[in-house]
Amino acid sequence: MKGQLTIEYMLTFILFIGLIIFIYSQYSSNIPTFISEISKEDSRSKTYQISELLLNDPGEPSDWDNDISSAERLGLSDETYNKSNLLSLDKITDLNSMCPSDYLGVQRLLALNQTFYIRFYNITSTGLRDILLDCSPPQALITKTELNATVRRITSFYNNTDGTINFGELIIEV
Amino acid sequence: MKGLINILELLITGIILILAFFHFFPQYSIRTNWSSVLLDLSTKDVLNTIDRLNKTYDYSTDDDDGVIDTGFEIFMNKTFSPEYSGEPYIWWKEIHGLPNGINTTNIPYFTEAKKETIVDVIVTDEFYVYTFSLGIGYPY
Repeated sequence: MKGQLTIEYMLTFILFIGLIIFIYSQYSSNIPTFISEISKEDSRSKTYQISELLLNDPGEPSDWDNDISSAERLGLSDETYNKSNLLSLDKITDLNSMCPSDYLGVQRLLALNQTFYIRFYNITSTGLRDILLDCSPPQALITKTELNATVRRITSFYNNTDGTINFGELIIEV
Repeated sequence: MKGLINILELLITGIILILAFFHFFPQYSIRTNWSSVLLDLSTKDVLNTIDRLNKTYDYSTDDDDGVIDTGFEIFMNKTFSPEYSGEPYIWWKEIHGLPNGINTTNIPYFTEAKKETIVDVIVTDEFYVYTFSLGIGYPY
């Protein structure tokens, strides 16, 4: 039985296979970065959507702050004025009281499947930040995954008690 | 000679493959416009907030030109304090349609900026329709 393959053919074949493996490895090394970026993009979109929902929608029903258990969708916009960038202080304080006891309920109302942070700061006359809303996950739900997106929104809010309008900063992190 | 041709074929094929690979699969790069969009969003938010606070006319008639103790500058310094925003911002305003003419603060140098405009009406001795434009950006 005479040899069917020459040494040159074998060498060429091995080099060719090596080249294919090199090209494949170069290409596939981008895949984890790509998947990570898609995940960040998804978080950015969700963060923006939540900020829009909280800022410019009164929620469902629009006076859910009168009976928190009736809330089907959260929104902080003042339903009396129904203007963009005008929140209701009552809704802010109600959400602040709802979060520590029912974080998962808030998560469900926002249609999220991951942990999130919502904070609202009143910007005082001296420029300091006075926190009015802190909706953070309980210790048991905090995961070590890094936060992917943060959206900061400047907005005014209406204080129903004294009839004044002040302004503050809404920060959403997903 | 026969072996040399095989190797020569391999080299040519390899070069063609690498060129085709880089042509059809360019180096992966990440481009996102979120920074620009969020800057635009901030500008709209601030303009809306000024309007909700009923300060559009007051800030329009501030003859400040960047002077730090006027209402508009105080508001902007409080809102975009680097201590809280984490980033330095610059801003300016342009007003058209009020009787005292165009009131524009010096436009600072910026790397990227967004400008939004709101139309407002004021009745003093006459009826005026004027525009208040706010520009916010990153310093140069």
